[in-house]
Amino acid sequence: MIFVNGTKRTLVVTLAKKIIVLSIITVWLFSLFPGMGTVLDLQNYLNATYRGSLADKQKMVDNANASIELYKVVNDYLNSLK
Amino acid sequence: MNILLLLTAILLIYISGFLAYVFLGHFFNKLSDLNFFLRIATYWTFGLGAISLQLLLLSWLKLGWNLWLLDLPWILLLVAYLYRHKIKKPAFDLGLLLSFVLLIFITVHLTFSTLSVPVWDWDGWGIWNFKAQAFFLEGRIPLAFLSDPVLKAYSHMDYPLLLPLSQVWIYRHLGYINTELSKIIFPLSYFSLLCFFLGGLYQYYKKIGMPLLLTISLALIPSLILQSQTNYADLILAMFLSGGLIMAFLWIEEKDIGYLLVSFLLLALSAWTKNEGLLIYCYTSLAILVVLLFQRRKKQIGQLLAISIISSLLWLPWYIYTRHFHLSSENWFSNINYIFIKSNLWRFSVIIKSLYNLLLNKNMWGWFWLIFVATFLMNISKKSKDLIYYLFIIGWIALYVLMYFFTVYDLSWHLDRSLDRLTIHFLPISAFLVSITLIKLWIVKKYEKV
Repeated sequence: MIFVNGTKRTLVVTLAKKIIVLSIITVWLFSLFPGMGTVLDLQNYLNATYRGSLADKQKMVDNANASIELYKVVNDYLNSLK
Repeated sequence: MNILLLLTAILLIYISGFLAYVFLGHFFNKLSDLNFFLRIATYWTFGLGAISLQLLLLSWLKLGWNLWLLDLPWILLLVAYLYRHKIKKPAFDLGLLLSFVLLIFITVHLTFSTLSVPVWDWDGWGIWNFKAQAFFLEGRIPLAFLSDPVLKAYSHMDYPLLLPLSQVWIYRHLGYINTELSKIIFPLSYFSLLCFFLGGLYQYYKKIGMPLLLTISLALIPSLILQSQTNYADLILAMFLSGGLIMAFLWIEEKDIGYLLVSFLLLALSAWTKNEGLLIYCYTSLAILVVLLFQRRKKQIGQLLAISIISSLLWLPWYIYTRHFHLSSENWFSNINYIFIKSNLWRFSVIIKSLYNLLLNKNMWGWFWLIFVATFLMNISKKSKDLIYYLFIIGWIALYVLMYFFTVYDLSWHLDRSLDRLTIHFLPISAFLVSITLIKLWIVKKYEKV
């Protein structure tokens, strides 16, 4: 390919830049896949444990490092309104 | 039936946002140049702001949350608009259509996974969703509830109400509490965040391929996906902050005041979402003001001040209300004194070490933050004018480090409970800067072929 305003050097630099950009995006995208597995695992874990009952909420509160009393205060308040 | 009611609630949020956007468009012509993606995202964000402030106002005026009062104003305004205007068919090419479909596909997947898990983790349940349920059951925002000394200590009654009131909107239209369905707000906010990101890059680059690839790279970051499911307010905040800052970027690039107005309205809505939003609203205002002062652009300083005053009307009423009734449970400024600083300097090393370990966690971010550092160094070596944007992000991180330094909670506990969520706030705009650097590197100067 012949360029009027460009040179072979600019062609090489341009190609090199494109390869760098595509490599960076490829690394970015592929580095995300191991973590995606964690996200999916977590959903299964949540589905298995947190299905809404008060007993299950204990696990949720434990997970939050908070006291179950905290949950009870809030839950009792809501029940008093219903 | 539930799904129809849910769709009605969502549609009305989009309609209210559309009407707010149209209203602004009357005064600022440039807004009509926003591309399709930016518009869709703006409708949703303005809509969340409009309906949450509507609920707050109706409660304060003691008018109640009757569905007629909630929906009729928007329906009448829409009819009035349609009577006087023809809806233009958006200019769409195949590339844009495919990009839009792809974003919807990613979001649909997330929607199913989000709605299939209940509200989990303490803040999601005990702070944000709890308030939504209590407000719905009370039919208003009762001061007695907000002032309850026990609840105040647990549920931070001074926190802004955009998220709980948006969930009240869903409950009100469903007619009952459904915590799982009310989480629909999160995937739609994730979708809007991606639309802001793609729309911002497309507005800048004018081509769709590379922006789409970079948007997918952001969309798949595991930590972002996780935060879209928890009922924490951090994803919503990230959406407002990144939308506001992308609009500020477009204002700097295209010099139109309309972008600045939308930017500050979105930043003001971030202050109406979480307290960190107020911090970044003030930080951004100050950063832009300093730059304008250095450049001696007097006219734009005046515009900035006017827009700051107008936009502060969105968050200031709630801020004054909480201060007036002493709703805050802790004094965040109590540690800001010389003695505390002198005896707690060790905290800096703990915070920075935690941040370092978090950002290098490949399972949460992939190698994104390494790429961020690499593009930052690239900009330093080229002495690029974009360095100022990177410095803005570094200043933002420094602010968060200071926030942890002065925290009134146990430092390790506080870091453990919130650092990953707070990182989400500046993730999208950092990814946007990385994308701009990569796009600039990608752009080829045009040669004449013989």
